Amino acid sequence: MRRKFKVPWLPVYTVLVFAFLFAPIALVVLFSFNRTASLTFPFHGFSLRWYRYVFASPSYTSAALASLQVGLTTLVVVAIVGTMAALGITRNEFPGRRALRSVLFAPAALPGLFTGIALLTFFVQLHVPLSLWTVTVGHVIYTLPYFFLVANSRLNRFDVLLEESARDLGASPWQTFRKVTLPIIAPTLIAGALVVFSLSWDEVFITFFTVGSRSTLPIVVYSTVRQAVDPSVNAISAMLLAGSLVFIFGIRRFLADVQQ
Amino acid sequence: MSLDGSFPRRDFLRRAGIIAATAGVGPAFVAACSSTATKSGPASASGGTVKGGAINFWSWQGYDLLTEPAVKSWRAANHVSIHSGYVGTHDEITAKFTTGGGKGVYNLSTYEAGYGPFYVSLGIPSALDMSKIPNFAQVYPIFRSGPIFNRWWRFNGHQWCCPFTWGLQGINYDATKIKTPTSYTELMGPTFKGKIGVTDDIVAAFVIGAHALGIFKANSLYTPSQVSKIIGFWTQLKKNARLIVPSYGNMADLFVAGEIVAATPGWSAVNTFAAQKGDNHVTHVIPSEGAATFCDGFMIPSQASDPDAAYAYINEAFSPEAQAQEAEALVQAVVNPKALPLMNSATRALYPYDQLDTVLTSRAPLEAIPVKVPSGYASFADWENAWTAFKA
Amino acid sequence: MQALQTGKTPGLRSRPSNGRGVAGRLRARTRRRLAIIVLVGPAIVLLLGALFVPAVNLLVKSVVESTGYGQVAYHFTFSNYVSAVTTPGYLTVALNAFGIGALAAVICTAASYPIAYFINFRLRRGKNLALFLVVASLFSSYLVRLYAWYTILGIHGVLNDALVRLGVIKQPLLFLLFNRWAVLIAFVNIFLPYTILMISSAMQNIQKDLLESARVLGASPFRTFSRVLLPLTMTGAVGALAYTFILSSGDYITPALLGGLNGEFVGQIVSNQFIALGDVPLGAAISFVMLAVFLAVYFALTRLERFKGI
Repeated sequence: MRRKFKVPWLPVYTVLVFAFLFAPIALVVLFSFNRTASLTFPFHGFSLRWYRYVFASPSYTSAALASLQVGLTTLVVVAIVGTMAALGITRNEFPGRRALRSVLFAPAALPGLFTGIALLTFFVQLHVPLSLWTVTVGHVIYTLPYFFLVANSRLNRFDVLLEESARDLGASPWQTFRKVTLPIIAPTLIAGALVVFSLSWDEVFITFFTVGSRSTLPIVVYSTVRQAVDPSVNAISAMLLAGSLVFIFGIRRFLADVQQ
Repeated sequence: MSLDGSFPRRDFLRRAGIIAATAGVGPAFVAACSSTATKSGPASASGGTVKGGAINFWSWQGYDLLTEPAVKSWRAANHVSIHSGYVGTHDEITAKFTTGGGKGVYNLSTYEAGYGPFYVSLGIPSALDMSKIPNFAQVYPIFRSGPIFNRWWRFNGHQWCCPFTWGLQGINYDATKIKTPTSYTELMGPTFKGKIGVTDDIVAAFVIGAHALGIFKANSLYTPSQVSKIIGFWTQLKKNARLIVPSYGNMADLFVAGEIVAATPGWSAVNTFAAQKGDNHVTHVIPSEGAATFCDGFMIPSQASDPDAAYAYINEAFSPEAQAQEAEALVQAVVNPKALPLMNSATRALYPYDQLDTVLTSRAPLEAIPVKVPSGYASFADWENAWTAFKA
Repeated sequence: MQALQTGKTPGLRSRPSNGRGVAGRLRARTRRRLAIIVLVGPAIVLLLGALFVPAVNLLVKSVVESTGYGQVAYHFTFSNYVSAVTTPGYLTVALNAFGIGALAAVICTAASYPIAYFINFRLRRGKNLALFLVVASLFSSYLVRLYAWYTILGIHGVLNDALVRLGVIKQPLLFLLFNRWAVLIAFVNIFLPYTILMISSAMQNIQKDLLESARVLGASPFRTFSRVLLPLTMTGAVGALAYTFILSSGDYITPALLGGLNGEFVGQIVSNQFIALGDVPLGAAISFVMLAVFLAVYFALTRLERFKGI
């Protein structure tokens, strides 16, 4: 007897959806090579001028570095804080545990606009100068629930017996975590960290309100889009895509080796 | 030359922001590299000198004069560095220097004429020591004396701003698709159904609407019923609109993509944007009812650190060479008559310098927002609510 | 015996400490409490200081009077909330935003299920590659991708071009771009990767055999979906619905660019209050009303989690 359902349209559907997801991306990459400043058809021929422009432009390079700084700081803070919180909540029974979990998920219910204006008003009230650090605070709050969700669900599925065996063999809690738990949950945590980085890298609403004199890349792109947009923004996007593909691919190879 | 600002087909310098020389491709940029227009003399020929300093700029992209050769070499000769942040709307200047935490951070910014009294009431600009900006004395009389000057730039006993550039906002259109529109009401006709764009520029819209309806007031104080009439004017145009155009940069893309054939409020710089994208047929015109003018000027925000560098920079920006280069780079009009002989003829032909007074006082009056609104008149918040309902 | 280190003690459930009796158990419990505080503390401090306190500050600002650009007078008033819900035009804009947001949420979540199912239960070697591709699509800039829709849906865009050449239509279709549907398509394109990942992650908890057993026992595909798959992945579905609804309703850049004459979303009004008018109280009040809607939807959706099948 057949054990699987017959759903013949599934593969076709999947391919169509992927085509839908990647169509705009393909166009973005295509127009990054356009010879004129046009972002729409007709296509005027191939040229690398926009890539050269991006590298020569101090505002783009400065913004890219700013985005990188904010993204990496956010990633590190959220990964550590989020994993710790997930460990604390999944491994222990204590009153208010469910409420606490809801509180940690709750910021996902907030649109970036709200977080941005709340933080801006707060910083202005306290006379805190706006800078990349104020942006980072906003990004951490924004991304923490998503990482926590991932870490929480992974740790819930984790077989506690593994940890208990290690403990029975005499390992300290920290050693247990480092040598048993962490290597096993690492792939999921890294995926979560990647999502955090991508959320931060693309974030424009919170950043718009909390940014100081040093802009991040989405802010520069947003300003450019409103004045005289040209394919330099496409070039940036294409480079980012290529870079992250290489990075994710490299990470997966690394993880595969580590897990041997 | 023609009042409508139309010009022959030609290639343009890219609007300020690129290092054109290093781009190195495309015939459009050969003109930029060979720099036919401007004779850039020695850096210190025009203005004063400073012993180094830093400019922290917050305003429109291009107004920081990053690429104009005269200003660039002045910076190098005087060891002045510059760091810029750019706005997408004028209100972002207001926000930055009040609720946005920018006080004390930036030492150079601008404001559009009609925002002057409002900004002074908020304590945004510092009073200018005009003895440090001697080059300003060269500008056209209308920009340094008279009723307009005393309304927007010098009042309460001080000068707050030095107007350095202005531009016209009428109708942009695709010259290959339609004949030159002669009035806004033409765009309300049936042939334009679904083919025009209405730009989301509230101040320009209100001024143009009021002017077209014959109820324009220089202080922008309108009764609620007058506001309704203005919104009614735009609602008529909206009936033929394909979309509300979110920005002027976007407008150029819409023309290039063939989505619209005309748009208003317009801006002459859109023609350049479109030309850079390969479409040389976007043109700007002031219709019979008139248009609106915006006029931006430099201000030094209060509590600025290093105001000396800012003063020297502003002074340099008013030199004839710098003004001629600004006219080319920004594709906007300038204020120093001595710059005219230094421009190439096409750039000079873009704006009606010979009819300056008529244009600024009646054909295309200056844009302004309502401030210190007495009861019975609409405040800027009322404008915003009416405009939001219009767009909804 | 065991060296219980203070500080991080992960992996501890309620285990009796070895042979120490009551005193030992008390010490273990204190250490466990300490462990919990140390582990969860940082997240709480962060949320309190960087979210809760600013939110309360904003709430306070929403019930005081605005006296000029960026200025407030601390007199208590509800007028901001009254303005928020009664100003003509605001309601239309809000309904526009929430309506399209809700549609986007439903479409994204529903569309994700077949793919997530296919990737998790049908692909063996291709599974990682497929997930990799989904994650990769997250890394292209959202703003830049919006412009690509001009090229796809525009008058001279790819779709119209193809349809005209194939002779399906004579004139290009104008309704593809600059209206609510274009905004919807763009939202689905933006959020689909996230919902696929969320639902896929929820599906990882399900044993493959479970679905196959259902099949063997004679259930139809639909009943297996509604009675087995859906309830088990309900957390993921709820997350996907809430996430997409909230973020798309709160977005105002995508609608402005692609919405044509219906491109005004609530976020734009809030942004205008802050930037153009400097009216912090009114801006805060409108955003709290918006937030109330989001929280209501969020809680309604979490009740769905108890749902055990259609």
